[in-house]
Amino acid sequence: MIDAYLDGLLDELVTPEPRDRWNDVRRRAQRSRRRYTAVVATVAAMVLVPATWAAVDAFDGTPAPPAIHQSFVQFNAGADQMEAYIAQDGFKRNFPRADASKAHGVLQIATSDGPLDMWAAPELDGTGTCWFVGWESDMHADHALGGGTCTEADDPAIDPSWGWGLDHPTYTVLHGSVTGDETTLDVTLTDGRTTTLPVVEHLFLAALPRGSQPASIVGRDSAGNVVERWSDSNP
Amino acid sequence: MVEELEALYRQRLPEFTRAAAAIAGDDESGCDVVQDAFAKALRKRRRFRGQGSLEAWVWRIVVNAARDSRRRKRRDTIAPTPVDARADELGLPLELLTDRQREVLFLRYYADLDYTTIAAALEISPGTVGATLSAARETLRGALMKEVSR
Repeated sequence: MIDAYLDGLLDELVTPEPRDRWNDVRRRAQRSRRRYTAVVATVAAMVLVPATWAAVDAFDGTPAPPAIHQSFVQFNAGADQMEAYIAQDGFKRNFPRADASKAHGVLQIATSDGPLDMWAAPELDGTGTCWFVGWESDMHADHALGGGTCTEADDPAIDPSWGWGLDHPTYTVLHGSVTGDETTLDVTLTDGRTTTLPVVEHLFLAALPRGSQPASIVGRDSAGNVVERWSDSNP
Repeated sequence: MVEELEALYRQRLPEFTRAAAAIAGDDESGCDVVQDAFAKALRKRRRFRGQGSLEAWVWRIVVNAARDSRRRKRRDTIAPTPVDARADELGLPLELLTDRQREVLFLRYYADLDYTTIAAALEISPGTVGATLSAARETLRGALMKEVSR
């Protein structure tokens, strides 16, 4: 009885009236967000976010532990499932698979929540790289919590993603890939702060302060020349 | 992928909106969050690689957007969100729940998601979903029992 009463209260708690506005979704998806960039330009380089990566040389190439290996295996199983799932609706798409046997460390960041690691494995067909990002504190004997993706042929030259989770609320994790010869990325956040990240194996990783997100990224090669630019107006 | 996202939007819009409203803190934000989240999913659709279902991936985007919306409200005002105020009126002691408990409860109740999808959306294990949901309902049940027995 108390359960039914609780359900009744939850029923009354929120009563939004959603309207099907798919065209609005599409407009929002295409909307330019240049105003962000303009605001940032006035305050850029004001504050420097401390460099947050550590032990890059020591970590790059570290063999993946079983939990990470298993994450890539699960990743491939997910690709199988997705192909079957979308085939039911008449769609066909080949999702990349990782060569889990070649999983290895790429970048490691020291944070107050412990190390944040990026692991990579080449795609089975040799066309790109899959990666997995997770906190060592979320790594268990047979599995690890985290997220990742794979490169694809038509990826943008600089392809960032970011997000945060309740287990690590003080950080926004930024990760992604580049297609060129970048060795560093100059990242400007929406609040104007900047930081420079190393690029290892065409991948990058950062643990940004909570609430942060990149507004623009400039990729530089080893000589400091600008190779590519990304801004949130053109994700 | 665009067609699949559109189909998911049309099939599950009420559930997405209701859960987003509960997490974000008000009905209007819930509607806006879902629009923005699907727009983001459209922009980033190439990043979806099949680790879990498409629906779980979209739920993750929706939950993140709803969290951000709620966080902005908390930052901008000390007043309770409309959802918290409504819960208070109803005698539903949501304030006893942690953020995670609220999210799991809302995703389960308003969207009827299974543990696997909730786990993928919140980036936690399915076992944690079950334990969290059980703890959340037990907390609310206990508080309501006390209230009813007074």
